[in-house]
Amino acid sequence: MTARRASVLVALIAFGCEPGFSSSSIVSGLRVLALGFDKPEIRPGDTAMVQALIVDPAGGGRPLTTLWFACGPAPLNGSSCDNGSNLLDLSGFLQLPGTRAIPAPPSYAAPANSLDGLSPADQQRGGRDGQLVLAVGPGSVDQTLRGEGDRVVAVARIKVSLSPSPNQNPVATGLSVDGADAPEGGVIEVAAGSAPAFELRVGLEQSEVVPILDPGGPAECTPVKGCTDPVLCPSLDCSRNQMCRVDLHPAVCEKHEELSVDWLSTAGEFSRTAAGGGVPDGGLPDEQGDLRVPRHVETFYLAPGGSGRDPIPADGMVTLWIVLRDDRYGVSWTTRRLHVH
Amino acid sequence: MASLLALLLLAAGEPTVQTLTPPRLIHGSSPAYPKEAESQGLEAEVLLIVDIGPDGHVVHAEVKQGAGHGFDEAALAAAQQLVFSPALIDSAPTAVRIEYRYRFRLTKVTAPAEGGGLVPFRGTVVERGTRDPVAGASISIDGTFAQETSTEGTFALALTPGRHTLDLDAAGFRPLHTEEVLQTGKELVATYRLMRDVTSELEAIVPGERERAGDVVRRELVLEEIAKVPGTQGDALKVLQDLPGVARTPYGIGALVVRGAVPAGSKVFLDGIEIPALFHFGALSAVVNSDALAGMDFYPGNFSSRFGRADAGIVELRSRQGKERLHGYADVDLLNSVALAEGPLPGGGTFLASIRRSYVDVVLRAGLAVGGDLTNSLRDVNTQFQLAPRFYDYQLRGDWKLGQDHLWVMGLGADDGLGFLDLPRPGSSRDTFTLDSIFHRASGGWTRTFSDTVENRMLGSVGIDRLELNAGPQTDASARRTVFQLRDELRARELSKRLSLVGGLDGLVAQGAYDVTLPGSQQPGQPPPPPVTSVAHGLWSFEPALFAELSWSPFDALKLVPGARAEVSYPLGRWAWVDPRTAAWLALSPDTTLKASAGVFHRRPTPDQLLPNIGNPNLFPEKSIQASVGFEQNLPWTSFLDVQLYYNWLSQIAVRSNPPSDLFGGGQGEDIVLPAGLAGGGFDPSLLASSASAGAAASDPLRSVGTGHAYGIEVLLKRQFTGRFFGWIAYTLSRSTRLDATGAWHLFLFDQTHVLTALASYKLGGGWQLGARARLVSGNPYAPVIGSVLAWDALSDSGSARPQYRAILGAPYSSRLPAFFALDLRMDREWTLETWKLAFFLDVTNVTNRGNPVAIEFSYDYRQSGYLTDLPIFPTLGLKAEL
Repeated sequence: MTARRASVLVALIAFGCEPGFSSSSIVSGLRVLALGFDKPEIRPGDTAMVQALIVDPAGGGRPLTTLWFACGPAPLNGSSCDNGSNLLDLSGFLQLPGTRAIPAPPSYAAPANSLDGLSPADQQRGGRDGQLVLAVGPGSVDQTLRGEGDRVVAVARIKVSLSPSPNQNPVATGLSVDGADAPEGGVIEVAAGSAPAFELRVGLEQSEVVPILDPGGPAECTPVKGCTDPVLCPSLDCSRNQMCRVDLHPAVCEKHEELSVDWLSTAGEFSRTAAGGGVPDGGLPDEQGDLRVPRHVETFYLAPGGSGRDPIPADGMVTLWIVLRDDRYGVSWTTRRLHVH
Repeated sequence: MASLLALLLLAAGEPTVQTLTPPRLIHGSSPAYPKEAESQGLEAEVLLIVDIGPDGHVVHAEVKQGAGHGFDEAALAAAQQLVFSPALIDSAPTAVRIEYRYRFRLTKVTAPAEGGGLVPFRGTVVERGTRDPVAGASISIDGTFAQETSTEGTFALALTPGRHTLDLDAAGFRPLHTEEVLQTGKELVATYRLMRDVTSELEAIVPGERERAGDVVRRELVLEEIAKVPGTQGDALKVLQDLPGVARTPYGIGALVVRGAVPAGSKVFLDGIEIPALFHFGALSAVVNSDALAGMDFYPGNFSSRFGRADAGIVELRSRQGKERLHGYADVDLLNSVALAEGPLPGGGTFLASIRRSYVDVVLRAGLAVGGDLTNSLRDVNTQFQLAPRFYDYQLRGDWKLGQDHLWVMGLGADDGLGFLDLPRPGSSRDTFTLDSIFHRASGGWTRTFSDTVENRMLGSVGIDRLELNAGPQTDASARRTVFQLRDELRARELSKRLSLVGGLDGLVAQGAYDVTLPGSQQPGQPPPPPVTSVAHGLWSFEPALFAELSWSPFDALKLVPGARAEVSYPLGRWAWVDPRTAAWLALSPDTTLKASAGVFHRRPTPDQLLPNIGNPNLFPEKSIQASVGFEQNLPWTSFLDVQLYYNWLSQIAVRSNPPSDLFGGGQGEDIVLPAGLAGGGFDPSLLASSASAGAAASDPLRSVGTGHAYGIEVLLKRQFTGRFFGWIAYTLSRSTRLDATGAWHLFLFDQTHVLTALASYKLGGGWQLGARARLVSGNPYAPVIGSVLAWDALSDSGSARPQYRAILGAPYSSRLPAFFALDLRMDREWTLETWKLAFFLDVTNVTNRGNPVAIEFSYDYRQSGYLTDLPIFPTLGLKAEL
């Protein structure tokens, strides 16, 4: 942020009057709530299936045109899709009625030469990213291409590497509402205007340990329970509070994935909005010496009916989506239905 | 009686108030009482308009308010015998026009007291309320002129015992008539307080020879008139933004945008010392108390070779000396408090001290706590915090006269701070933000007057500047600079009858330390890399300059002022240049003057532009070739019209390949560019990566390849300050464009096609004054958002990937915000008491409460948009007690 921009923003924020917009946690129109692959990390030549959460709650079941564009791996800041030479598959002209996930998602096949030019170490650790572009709208293919109407464009990535332990999508183990289990498929009863606590349970193992390249050095490695690797932690005590130092340049360390949660609904409001709630850090020990991987992610939900601005839906039903992400393109989601009485 | 309120130089329509020494009556004359009127027992007063030449003799007199019965003729005849000391403007004798009143009173014959001789009678005449001495007030005893008060307002007479009438008369004051009784052997000492008369017209000087410097456009402001301009919240210097050529900035953020140039292109000087800013944050107040100033000059371009290191506008502030008697005031309003004190020093010197402190942060916090929605909101907004500025500033000045020499010392400084207000919001994860800006200067000067036409002014200054910005764990900037300045200017008027010369040295030496930290380029799934830093300590810059300016009048109606300025900048960049500049005036008539100017102006890149890693040490200085033509026309009713056409060619502007596309620094590199959406399948999603980081800056360095044009017409129609009414209409029609590294011409981000300001103020009498100001300004250009892309794996500052919508921008600056309109009103009420004054003002900005858009705010997905608006109706109350 430049000083100039800062000073202007200061004046705006301190003195300005701003319009009010709806929160991003409230889903009312056509939205892409999640976009990824069943395997967020694949090897060259492998195939991953696209998974996308596209919703259109106010669309009344109108048909949607969905276009997919996939580009071969390239350096992250490069132009893998700039001239179309890397386009892999113009594969989708899917008509999606209503608000359901794509039943037969297109696939992404990483070219066999995706990692050419990278050192073996980089092929394992970093690899390259392929890109996926989704354009969805209520109009025709041409209208969607031209950007007419209520169109959404979303872009996601997939990692192509030779990692011996490729990333997996994180999976939540359960959802509780005010302490009571709320299994998928059921309807959760909430009182109008109430503020029940929602808790998403995530297993410790979902925050995968990841070897990372720390470009600076000497590095401070995060402690890893049970670490016995003499290379990574040569002066290892491996008791849980010790920081291990590695004098490698650059250093190879490990960290725990950061998991984050998006809470989205067709009505009501969450205290923790997209990707904000209970995000752990990269695995530094907490005061008790335990690794701060997410055990649960909690938020408060303000049910509609508590103010004139947020009326109860006509049928009293609210759809809730909870999207769980790691920081390496992994994603999963779960859906619930709420009945506000 | 020849004290004067103000003198207005109407030479070719340029309003000016400079250092003024009014004429003093040396030799008075008593008119002969008309026989006929005396026989009829008539008394009268005759008001004359008297023109006094540069030698102090009366050259013309005419009756303004006559009385007939031969009184007028008697007064005119007596006026021809008056002799004054010449009036001086900046030590130069000049012709003046004054009002002079004769009173005809029939003498009452009073028998002297038995055994009585003359009785001493002395006293002082002061202004009611301020206690300022009234110099040159005429004292008539029993209808006969007796004496004029001294510069200290004193008089000493010796009268016969008994009752006498006393008439005190001074220009600009209500006459005082009273009676005194002198007793034998008992000296009478008295103090008389004259009330200032708002209804008296200020005198205007006949058009005379006025020194022209090399500045074709020079807006000089009478501080007394601009102190009560509506919308300025009591700060006179803010009226600068109501002049032609100055753009309006949102919330009055304080940036000085002159003729469509960047704020860094303009400089502010106080008595020749460069200061880093004119306004505090948010432009709530100037950094200098305007009551500590003698005047302000504004040059919107094509300025004299006396000034350099700038290529846009110059603001020259002139501080004033302290009064020779104790005086002070305290001023309290909603935003800040000011205190000023001045008076004599040992050794015949004077001092002036002023200090100001804001408390808008306290006011804002209290206001938010009472009525704000600070806590427990579940809305996903990142603007539920408030930043409020707090600032203070101070000025200290001491002056001594030592024969022909004038010595002065001055200290001044300002401190601005910004930070988040405390908001009790659990779990808030907002970034930190603090911004501090400080400067201090210690300076001194010596003016040596060799003769009436030759003077040398030398000054030296040492100071520090500091700027500290922190906007998160990876965004930090610190700039610290020690500045030494030495300036010497020799003025030689009348080298020959038609030649004058100004020349000198203007040197600046600075040592700077700069530490800038910006986020590095990030990889998803990887930890955030170390931030990119640019550290430069012990950076010395040595910038001497020589300037010279000749003023030549080959014949009376023509004046040419060629000049040149040679500058060197070393070693921060290594450049040297010579900027030729010239100006010309041609008087077609006493009321009409044509003028033209042309010149070259260079400006060194700012230190942050030269830093390695984030800037480019190999940048060239920016260059501007400026030309202007115009005319000045005196109009009836003490008004004048000034019209100016200008054209600036800009080159070697430091630009990046991805320039900012809006006022807030958002650039095409920071957001996604998808031309025409996905039409034809052509797009570049790989531009998703943010290039706002230093990593991107390293791959997109600044280069001196930008060019630009700025041109327009400026019109100023002004009625001179006449004591009761003043006002002006200023209009600017302009265009400012840039050609940046992308090869496309576009509007400059500060371009404002129309800027219209009309303001007026009127003294009703009885201490009341009302004023109004209306402004109509074109909106600023911006790049429109034509769509958005959800970057599912966009990187946050912490390195984790999270969904983020990126705007798809249209052509840079291809859209324009709606026009700005505001009406401001002001009311002043002043009570003049015996020995002090009390003043109250109510200044209401944006009386119509119009929501003027200053920026566009978007929802998280850019599907919804709305305007951020400027200040709503905003009243400011102030109370000032002056001793």
